[in-house]
Amino acid sequence: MHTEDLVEIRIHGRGGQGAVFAATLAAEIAFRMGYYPQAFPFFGAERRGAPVAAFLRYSRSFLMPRCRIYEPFCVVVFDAALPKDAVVDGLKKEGVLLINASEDLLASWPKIAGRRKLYIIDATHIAAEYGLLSSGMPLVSSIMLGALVNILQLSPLQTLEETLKGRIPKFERENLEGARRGYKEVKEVVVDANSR
Amino acid sequence: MGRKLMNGNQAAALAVKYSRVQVVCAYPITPQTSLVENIAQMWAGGEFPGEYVSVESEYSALSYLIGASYSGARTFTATSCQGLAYMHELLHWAAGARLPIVLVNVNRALGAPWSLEPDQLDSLSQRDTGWIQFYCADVQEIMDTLIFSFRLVEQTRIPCMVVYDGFVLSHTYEVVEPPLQEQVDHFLLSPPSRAAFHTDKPQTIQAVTDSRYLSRVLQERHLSMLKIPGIVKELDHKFQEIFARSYPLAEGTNLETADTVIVAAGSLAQTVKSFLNTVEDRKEKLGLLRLRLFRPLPKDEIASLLSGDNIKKIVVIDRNVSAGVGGIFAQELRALLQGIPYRGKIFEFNLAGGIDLTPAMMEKVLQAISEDPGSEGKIIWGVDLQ
Repeated sequence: MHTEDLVEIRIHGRGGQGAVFAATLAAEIAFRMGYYPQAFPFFGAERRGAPVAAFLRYSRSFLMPRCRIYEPFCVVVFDAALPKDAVVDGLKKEGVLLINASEDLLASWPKIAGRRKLYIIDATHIAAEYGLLSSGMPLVSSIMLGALVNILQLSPLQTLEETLKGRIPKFERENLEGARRGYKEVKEVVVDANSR
Repeated sequence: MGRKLMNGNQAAALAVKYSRVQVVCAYPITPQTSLVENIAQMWAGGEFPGEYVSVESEYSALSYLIGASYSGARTFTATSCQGLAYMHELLHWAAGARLPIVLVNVNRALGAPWSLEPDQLDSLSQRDTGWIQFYCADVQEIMDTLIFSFRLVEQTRIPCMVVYDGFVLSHTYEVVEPPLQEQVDHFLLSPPSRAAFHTDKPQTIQAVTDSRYLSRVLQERHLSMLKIPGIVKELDHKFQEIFARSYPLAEGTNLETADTVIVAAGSLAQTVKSFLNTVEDRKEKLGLLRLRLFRPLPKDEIASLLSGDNIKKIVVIDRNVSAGVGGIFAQELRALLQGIPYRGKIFEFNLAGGIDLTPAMMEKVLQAISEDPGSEGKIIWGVDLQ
């Protein structure tokens, strides 16, 4: 999935969606798989609904840069309506893009992805099925986390489940089920070369 | 206890708990907030047996600790930027009164304008208050340096400021090995029993003095401060025996072979170190000097680290600027190098305002100094290289 020793991921979402939480749990999973992780939020005050970013890097070596991530291998988008150019900024040519979207609502994402791999998961729909909502906003973080862990081949499903257990005070069963669905249902969008 | 994932503020809160601090008094301020929230939460849940006192300002927080420390308690506070500046007068008082207080400052740019960026001027502008200052490079080091500091202050009666970058360390989760309570108990002294103050025995302290007496007090403080590097080294041996981890006064990497040495403090040093490890086939041979103990500056240690004839260029990275002068670390290094026969050049690379140091920017600054010899004596600004 990735050739370099250092893997860098940037997660884009809206304040309240759990982007930072997902980055932290992904770091925990990377740690359980024997990596040294770093997970950190965008530097700033968070507001509900405002665009936010979270960062994750992991490597077999503790020695990693301590800057923000400008050229990620992977970009994760919690809300497909976020400004597309901003979220894919710097995404590596051989990188991957994971979007919370359904196939019929992909809009221009395949074009934006270009030759990079594009993965989708309809996390908003799954969240609604399990009643994962907060003030009307779908809580997609565990579903997106499940999908991310799968496309990075970061860990088996069991490690993801073990990491989530006890970490979610409310709706644990729903979040666990959501993470499983994300892990299992994420799929690559195969785009006709002519339409790129 | 096994290794765990935690961020800098959580690690600091745990260190305070393990160190059996008796009085914590603080006022929340981003990016320090989650540190004091963690302590308050442990206190509310009965896990932290000390006192946790909320006050209406940083000025009151340090005032409260001065009182608590006079009465013999082990004390801790934490702050950042404007909050540290607001404590300024009392920082002098605590040091003058030789009170063993430990303080965390999470680096954040001072306003105006408002910012959350990790500029270092908040703590560096307190360098003359008489406090010991350590700059930490990772989350484990934050936890270890804090535990270490409680022993250091109680042994020397000089207060200590443990400094780390806002967000870059305060909010970054990484792998940490927490200590065992027995290890910390073994390393620390018994809680201080020497109370200068008691309501049963009223007395006047710090009364008005003449210059002759005051000058002796200041002289003694200076001489005590000069002994700190030696004491830190000694205590580090003890720390290593117990915790199997060791921290230098200043850390050198590749200094025996380098022709170009980057000087940096805090988490910036780790970005430089990883850059050193990943770049190959350069015409320069690169080395790193990480500043860790900044007050007092361990002059002999740094001079000996930079004494090799192989070193031709030194590039000092400052994420702060003393307006009209330049980066503070660069000024300190220049003054220190006056005392040794270093004949190379010193370059200033400035990231004031919290400019993020990336490997790409490292490339650019190295290119700038190799292409333009005239860049010595001028400040190379990171913001111009972005």
